[in-house]
Amino acid sequence: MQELLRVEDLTTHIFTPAGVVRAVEGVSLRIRPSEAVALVGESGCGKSMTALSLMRLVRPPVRILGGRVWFKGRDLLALSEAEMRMVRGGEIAMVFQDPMTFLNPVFRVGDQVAEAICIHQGLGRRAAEAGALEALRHVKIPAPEAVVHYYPHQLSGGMRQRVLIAMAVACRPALLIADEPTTALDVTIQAQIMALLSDIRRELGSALLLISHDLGLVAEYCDRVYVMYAGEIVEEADVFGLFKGPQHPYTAALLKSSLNIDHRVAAFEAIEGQPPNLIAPPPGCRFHPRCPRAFEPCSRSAPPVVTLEGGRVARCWLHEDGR
Amino acid sequence: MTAPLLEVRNLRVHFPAGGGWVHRPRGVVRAVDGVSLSLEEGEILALVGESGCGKTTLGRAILGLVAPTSGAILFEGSEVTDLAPAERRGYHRHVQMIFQDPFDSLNPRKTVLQTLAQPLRNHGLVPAREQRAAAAELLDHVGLSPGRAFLDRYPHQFSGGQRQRICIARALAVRPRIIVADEAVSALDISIRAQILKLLRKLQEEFQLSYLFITHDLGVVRSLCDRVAVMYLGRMVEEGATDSIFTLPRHPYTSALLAASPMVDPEAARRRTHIPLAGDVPSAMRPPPGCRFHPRCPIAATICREAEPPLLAFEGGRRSACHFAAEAPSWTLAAVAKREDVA
Ligand SMILES: Nc1ncnc2c1ncn2[C@@H]1O[C@H](COP(=O)(O)OP(=O)(O)O)[C@@H](O)[C@H]1O
Ligand SMILES: Nc1ncnc2c1ncn2[C@@H]1O[C@H](COP(=O)(O)OP(=O)(O)O)[C@@H](O)[C@H]1O
Ligand code: SF4
Ligand SMILES: [Mg+2]
Ligand SMILES: [Mg+2]
Repeated sequence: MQELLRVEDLTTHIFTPAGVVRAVEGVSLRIRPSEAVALVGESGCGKSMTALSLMRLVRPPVRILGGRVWFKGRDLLALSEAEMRMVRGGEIAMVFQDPMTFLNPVFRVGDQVAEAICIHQGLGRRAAEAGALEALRHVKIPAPEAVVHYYPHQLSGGMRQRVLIAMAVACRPALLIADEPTTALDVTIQAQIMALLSDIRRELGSALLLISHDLGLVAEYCDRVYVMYAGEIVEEADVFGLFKGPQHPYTAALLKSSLNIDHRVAAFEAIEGQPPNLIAPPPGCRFHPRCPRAFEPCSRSAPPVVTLEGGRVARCWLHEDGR
Repeated sequence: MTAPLLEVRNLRVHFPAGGGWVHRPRGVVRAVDGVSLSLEEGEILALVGESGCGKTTLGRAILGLVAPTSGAILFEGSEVTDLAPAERRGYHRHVQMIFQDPFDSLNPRKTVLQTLAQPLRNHGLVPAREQRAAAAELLDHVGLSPGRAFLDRYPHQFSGGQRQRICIARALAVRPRIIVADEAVSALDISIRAQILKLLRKLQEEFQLSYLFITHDLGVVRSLCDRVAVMYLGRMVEEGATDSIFTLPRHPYTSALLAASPMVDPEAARRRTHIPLAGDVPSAMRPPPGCRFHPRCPIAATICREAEPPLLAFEGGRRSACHFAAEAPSWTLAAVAKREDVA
């Protein structure tokens, strides 16, 4: 299979006074060109740390302890910082949940977009300004000639997210990483932003890594899914297969807990307990204390990562025989 | 006919707009602008709409936390503002609120016991020496058991879901009849959200509660709520039984909200072709003339820009404020067909 990105055994820990947070523990994933891949899981399971690690955007106390991140034949973890800067915002771009962590409140929108374009395309000031206007038009911001003069706080949440997307896609990235890009937005604005991302991807042929806790968004916009729990990938499948027949008890539980607009569930089904503290995750399978199907080996040793029919993968003792 | 448990009549809550650098008020924010609704005994009524449409303000007005500009709030048929002080205290006991962020609404320096004992004391419901036992029992009810093991802990020692349980216990302490839940499960992760929803439904039966359930999550509404009221820019645009509205919305805004809600089903999601609603919600200081939704409405016509649509009655006690509500099947047909082949 042709791959754009291949993450192998990525491990990132956070060295806090309270102990070592095992935020990302041997994560492997692949993304093909122009594919939309989801990394889904509840908050605190390590999704953002995975993305930040593969972009090498972590600094102490967060440390990448191991793994490889192959992108177009190069291991990103082995690049110099200068080389990595050209990859970031160039061939791989990222969009975050809160645009204000990325936008500078005291600079005008147009200048910030132009700056991003300057860095990566080596354009002069005038050309970059024209590029900024074009980039804002590209993300369908109304009256971009006026908006370039605005400060970020003068824009609505949805418009700020569009500005961030404009900066991200200005260099036609081969991979766009979107970390909860619509979590802070209302549902109609979320639909606008997701439609915009789809249009842009179709046009540029970019791949998408969508990080989300929202199974609805994943179902609607992604081709393939990685489910993450407590720092580990527990299941990998194509989107149709995953929602039709989850192979990991955690995925199954998530699906049972999710509520849909098209039917009423008579009784709410909930898994008890809460995700573990990643300083001292449970032994064996990290999900075993909450797992309705846990049996004898689950609390003793780490479950095998089993490749099932159709190339699906599950990390669970229930599939031991399928190995 | 007996009066509804709670009734809101033509309620308006306007705020002076902050002047910013200029000191004189620049106008008024019409946060709630003429809303009527009723909540029956034992009912779960959803209040939905995008942020800024006035849901929280309406909830706070019902609680007496913000003064209405005009209109009336009635509890069992009596106007709350007309009640004698003693009865008014009774009303405040009977209506409790829980919020989105259980951390903000708990005092970090108080133990769980102190948090739960306060309402018991305020309303003189339990003698001092029985408060500990009563508080422990409340915790058992909300699934923190054994309750006595948690009484002397502080909020930071609990997870988000557990803190929301404590907030629910505090609301229950005074044996209310109505709980206004303002985005009470919105900040919770899906597995925890399911636990809290399960709890809210159990408590509703155990304590014969009625809920005004404020949320923006239509998936939750479909499974939890009996009726829905949809707000847009301070106005009620549609109201009716949940199943009926979700199958056939009679307001294009409701229709758009449903179409924009992601479906947890990749096949169904790919079958529908929705055109996202354009633009942002306009400012509540200068609501558009005519129908407030018209600048974003996909079926707006001339009349929509000129005349404000009345809230008209339809089958099954439904109401909709759209000039074209009666023709709903034609313009919502596409959307409905999409949902029906899923069901
Ligand atoms: N700066 C930090 N210091 C300590 N722990 C952190 C820090 N950032 C994240 N964590 C912890 O790392 C884990 C993974 O976090 P994150 O990747 O942000 O999760 P997600 O994006 O899935 O919500 C969590 O348990 C979180 O508490
Ligand atoms: N205390 C206040 N002073 C001024 N404006 C307010 C105040 N509270 C709310 N608003 C405004 O009233 C409108 C409705 O707000 P709110 O009731 O919080 O909406 P929702 O809960 O639906 O998001 C918004 O425009 C908001 O900015
Ligand atoms: S390994 Fe065991 S505990 Fe873990 S998910 Fe599978 S059955 Fe459940
Ligand atoms: Mg995150
Ligand atoms: Mg609110």
